[in-house]
Amino acid sequence: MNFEFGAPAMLGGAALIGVPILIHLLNRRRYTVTRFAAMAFLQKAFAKRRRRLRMESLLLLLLRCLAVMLAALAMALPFVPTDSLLAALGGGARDLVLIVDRSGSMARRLPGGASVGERAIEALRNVVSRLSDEAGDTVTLITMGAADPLPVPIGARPSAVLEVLDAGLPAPAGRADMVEAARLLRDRVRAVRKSRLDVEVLTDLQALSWGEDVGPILAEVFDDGGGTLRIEDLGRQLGDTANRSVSALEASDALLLAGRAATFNATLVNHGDTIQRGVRGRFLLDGELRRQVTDIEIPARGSASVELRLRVDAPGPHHLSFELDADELPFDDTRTLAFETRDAVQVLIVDGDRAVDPLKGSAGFLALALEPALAGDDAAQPAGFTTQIVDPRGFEALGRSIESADLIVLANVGGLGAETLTRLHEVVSSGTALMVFLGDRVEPVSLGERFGTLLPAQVGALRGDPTGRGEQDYVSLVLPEPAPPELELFSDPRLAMLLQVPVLAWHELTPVDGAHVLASFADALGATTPAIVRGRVGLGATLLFGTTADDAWSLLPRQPPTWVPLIHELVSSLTRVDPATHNVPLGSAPALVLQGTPASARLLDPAGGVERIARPEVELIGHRSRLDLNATPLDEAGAWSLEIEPADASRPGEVIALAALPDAREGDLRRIDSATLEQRLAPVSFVMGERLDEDPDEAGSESGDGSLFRFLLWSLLVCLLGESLLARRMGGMR
Amino acid sequence: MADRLARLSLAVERSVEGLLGGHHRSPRRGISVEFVERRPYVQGDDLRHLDWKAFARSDRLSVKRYEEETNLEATLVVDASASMAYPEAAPNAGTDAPLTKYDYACQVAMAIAHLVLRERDGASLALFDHVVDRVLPTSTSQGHLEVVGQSLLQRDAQGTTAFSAVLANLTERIARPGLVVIVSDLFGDLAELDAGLGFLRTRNHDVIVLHVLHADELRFPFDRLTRFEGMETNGRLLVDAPALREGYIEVINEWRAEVRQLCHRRGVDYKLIDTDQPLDVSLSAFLGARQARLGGRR
Repeated sequence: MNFEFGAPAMLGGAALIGVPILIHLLNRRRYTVTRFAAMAFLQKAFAKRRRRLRMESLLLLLLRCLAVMLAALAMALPFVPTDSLLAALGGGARDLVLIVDRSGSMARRLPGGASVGERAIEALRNVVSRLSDEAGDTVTLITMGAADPLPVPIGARPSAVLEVLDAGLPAPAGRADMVEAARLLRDRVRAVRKSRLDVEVLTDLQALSWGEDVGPILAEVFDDGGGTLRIEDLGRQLGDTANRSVSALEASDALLLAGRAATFNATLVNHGDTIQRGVRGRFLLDGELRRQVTDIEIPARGSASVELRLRVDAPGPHHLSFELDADELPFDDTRTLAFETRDAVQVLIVDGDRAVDPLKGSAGFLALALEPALAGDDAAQPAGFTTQIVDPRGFEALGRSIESADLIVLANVGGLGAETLTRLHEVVSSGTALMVFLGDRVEPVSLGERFGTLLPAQVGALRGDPTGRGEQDYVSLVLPEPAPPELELFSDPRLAMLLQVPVLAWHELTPVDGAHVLASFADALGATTPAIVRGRVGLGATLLFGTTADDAWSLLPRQPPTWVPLIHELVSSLTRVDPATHNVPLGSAPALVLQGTPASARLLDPAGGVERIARPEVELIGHRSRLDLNATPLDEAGAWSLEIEPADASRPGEVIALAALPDAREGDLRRIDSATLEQRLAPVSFVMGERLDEDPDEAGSESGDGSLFRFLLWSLLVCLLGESLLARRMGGMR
Repeated sequence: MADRLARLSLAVERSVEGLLGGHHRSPRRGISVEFVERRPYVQGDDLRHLDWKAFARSDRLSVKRYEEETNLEATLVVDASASMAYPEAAPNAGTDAPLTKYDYACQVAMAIAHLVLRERDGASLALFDHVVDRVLPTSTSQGHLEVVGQSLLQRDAQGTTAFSAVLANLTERIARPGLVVIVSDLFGDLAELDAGLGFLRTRNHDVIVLHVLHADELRFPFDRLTRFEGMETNGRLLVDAPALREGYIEVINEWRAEVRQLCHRRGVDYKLIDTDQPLDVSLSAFLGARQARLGGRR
């Protein structure tokens, strides 16, 4: 029989059991002495009643000790498992919290054919059906790993929970996190359910679900009102598995352009202890097979990578999937990547010193790096960028049409009109990237006053000698450790050499809060100063280069092997859409930036189901809007699509590819061992349940909360009454 | 001693006023003025009692019998054993000391002596524990009452009780059949008491047993853990007194019934005297009933 105690410290009161014995012994020493004449009769009476007197005295002592024991036990708030025979002594309504594991690993099949998740629902139904609305029983259902962890209100009636179970819970696919469940229990459930909570966890005991903090958090829950913890191990019939999963699918290139080949990589993981050979898989683009891969070898507890070189001709949203042959845990055998291919990145370059010869202006080298065809070589491979070069006056004349640019570059621009600056601020805030190069037309103080928060760094004094004739030494670019993702290309030591190009003059840059340095200028002595600083204004990325975009102060533009990839990497990183925006963890809701304002939307799930969002609530940000799909989280792994109908009928409709990604770690089916489980749950004590062995037809009602407090209190009263009667019968000895 | 005697005398004076006085007829038959009966002569009869007139008439020898109207000789036998000292006074009790069974027995003896002497009968006194250790000879003098009182008070209650030897001794000492009043708590061997009473009764003594018991001994009112120590024995018993009350009362009631039956069997008048009762109340009812019974038998 397993007992739990709501206030185990009070068990120390049981030590007071010695008090009646002590009092009894002390009383034996506190007596009066009387010389009595009729001693013979007294001795005769005593001899006749000696046995009975001793029995009564012993019984009285036992009753007093029992009273102390019962009082201490009652104050310690003991509980027994609610399916225990003793639980019937408790009575009262039950406040049950059922935490059911709905993670992907619960989709695993048991020997009988049913999945662990199905058995969990079955066990859940059994438990809830034994409760009673009439008795005041309540159930709080927490679905670990599901998009909505509270599918019924906290403290719901059992019948309401059964209705939800009948309607069906989402299939197991997410990741179970007992720490998160415990926090939810502490912060939300305990906030409204102050009474004792019987917590029952139905899980496959996957090791990664049990974080280190779960015990202390549960202890806080139980310290505040008491409670018990019971864990139903639904996965103990499962043996070791050689589960494999697709843990990642990603594009190598930051920009995916229509008509240009790009590389995609799928990472496959073997969660088993033996090497897997001959594994087969396939890439599918928008549901069509693009490559069949056979004979993949994945080392034990290791991973393997499969590459796909793919050219997508049609611009727009796409889904690329990689599928493995199904194993016993299918949820992680497929992974989808949502991406969008673009025709080209629109770059609007404002040249502050524009000349007829492109290479004489401030932005010529930049434009050539982005669009080589400008040099007159028609055979040059398009880089995926289209450029438009204007002078500051032309830029002001463009008005609101600058909204169509993906990136605006200011090269040696000393100033802009106030209206243009305001418009530029709005455009950048709504998601257009901004790149700023300095030069001789830029006066630092004036630039700071005019551009203000648009710049990710304050521009300081000019350093170096633009002529290269002075005594001032030159500097060159160096990357911080570790290299930022934007310039990871140059983290390779062989390519890092390319950065050793002299920069003759530069401005000192002081990054503002939230900005970070992508590269620094380093002099011969190794002293560094920020060279490229990246920041953010609203939804738009901003970047400030501490020198010129032409060869006036820097020899970088004259070194194509350095300049071209440098500019490509920077522009790509500024204009790319973060894949995490459209590829979200299963069960979460994406936040999307839309062109214009949507009138309505349709969300298409992987199974082809459609959910219409009649009036999407959006946040207007400049000429764009942000849509949060909080009400419709992506609760099924795979390819999703969002079709937007714009409020402005003149604009074309927009389709956004989305993907819900199962947690790659969920495929690791190793179970937590009992010692580790006890360690994780310390200081909370728990019992392991055996729901799988129960016959639901034979199981009785679980009314009664398992608390023995009332029973002990009544027992104490009976004990005291018996003591009082016996003491009175014995003549009132106290 | 003088104070105690004065208190004792005062208590007795108050008590005897309510008691019956009167004549005491001698159980002895012999020379007297009042003829009682005639019976056939047997060898050994005193020839002085031959009824010569009847012999002349009937030629048969017969002897006349008369009731002798003479002074009663009352022997007061007072138990002065240690058990009669109950309850013991606290060491510093002074004049607030409780009345012991012996004190009460003294009052009883004095009251009866007073009654006897007032009728000009003779009264003697014997004090005993396991032996008869003090005996006052019979006297009809009114001043004898004071002597009795002094004798009673000179003795402290002590020693163990032995009825057989004591009563056998008294039987030998008392020459004429008379009234023997035993005042005692009777805490001793009942078989010895039975034998002793038998001795007295074979000598034709009229025996009265005044059984003096303290209220504590009758009702056992102790209410806490108490170590009882014997007054005539070395026995000790640590016991929760209330728990034993019922059993004790049961035992002592059985014993009292046994004593009563014993006295009845021996033709001895028996009266239980509770020291909580006033002396006159205790004695008047008993003596009144006895007087009525003796008168009726006549």
